[in-house]
Amino acid sequence: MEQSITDFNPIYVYVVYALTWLVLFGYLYYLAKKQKTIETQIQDLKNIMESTES
Amino acid sequence: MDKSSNGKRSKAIDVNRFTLFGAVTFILVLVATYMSLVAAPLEAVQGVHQKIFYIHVPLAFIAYASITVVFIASIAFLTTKNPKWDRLARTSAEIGIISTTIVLFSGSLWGRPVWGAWWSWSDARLVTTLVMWLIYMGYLMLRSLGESNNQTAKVSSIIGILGFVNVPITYFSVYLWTYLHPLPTLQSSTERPESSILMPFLWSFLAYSAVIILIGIVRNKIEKSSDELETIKKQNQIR
Repeated sequence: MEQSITDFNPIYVYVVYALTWLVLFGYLYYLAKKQKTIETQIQDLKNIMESTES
Repeated sequence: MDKSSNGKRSKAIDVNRFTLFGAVTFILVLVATYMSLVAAPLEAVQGVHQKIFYIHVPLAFIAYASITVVFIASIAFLTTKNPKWDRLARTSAEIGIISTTIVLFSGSLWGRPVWGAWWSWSDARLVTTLVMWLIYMGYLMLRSLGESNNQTAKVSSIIGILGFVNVPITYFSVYLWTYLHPLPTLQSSTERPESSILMPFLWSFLAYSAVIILIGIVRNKIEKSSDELETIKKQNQIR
């Protein structure tokens, strides 16, 4: 008889996949937020410089 | 067309390309997950637990590759003094740490149902992988705690070069001191892997490599933006 995915307790497999996705996409999200913050700071500084020049 | 509108246009193209690559990567991860969890056959002895292989092994390859890049970029920085090599080494070390972290916890969660143990201090592959993780954690801690200057970059490069010694030891440890960790199945010269196992593996390798490239692109953007911010602050004497 052919085995199916439910023949063994797959909890370890699901935990590995979920944690991997969480680590990779969580880190990507953290980096994207950080990049956005730095870009906003640069834009704010540029705006201040422009307003003081004019 | 003036310089600023040209800059805005190229930035918009950049964002569009990045979004497209992000979407393609996400689809690749979905396909790889389907191939690994549904399409790949159940292994006779380990059953469903063998499916951890499709995360564990591609990420291990990526970890080795990242740490090799740290090694090469560190040598290039010490010989050329060009900061772009130092930035590449730091980005690769971060990627190496993320990949090795996933390799360690996926290995532990694979070992529990198959070997009956989360961890074994007697297994050379497990211990040398942990040592690799600790070396590059030390590398990143030095980078974040040390001052952002040439001296820190030089010391980090030396750690990046010396730390690489552990990579071949980790890789060949399964041949030298066999205990719990099995020999690599994909490189065996006597048994060719079946395509039903090889294809999901290749999809997973492609998908997780794409995620890592995506992380590398964003990390590189942060480095560039941070440099720009520092330059603006210096020019205007802002702390």
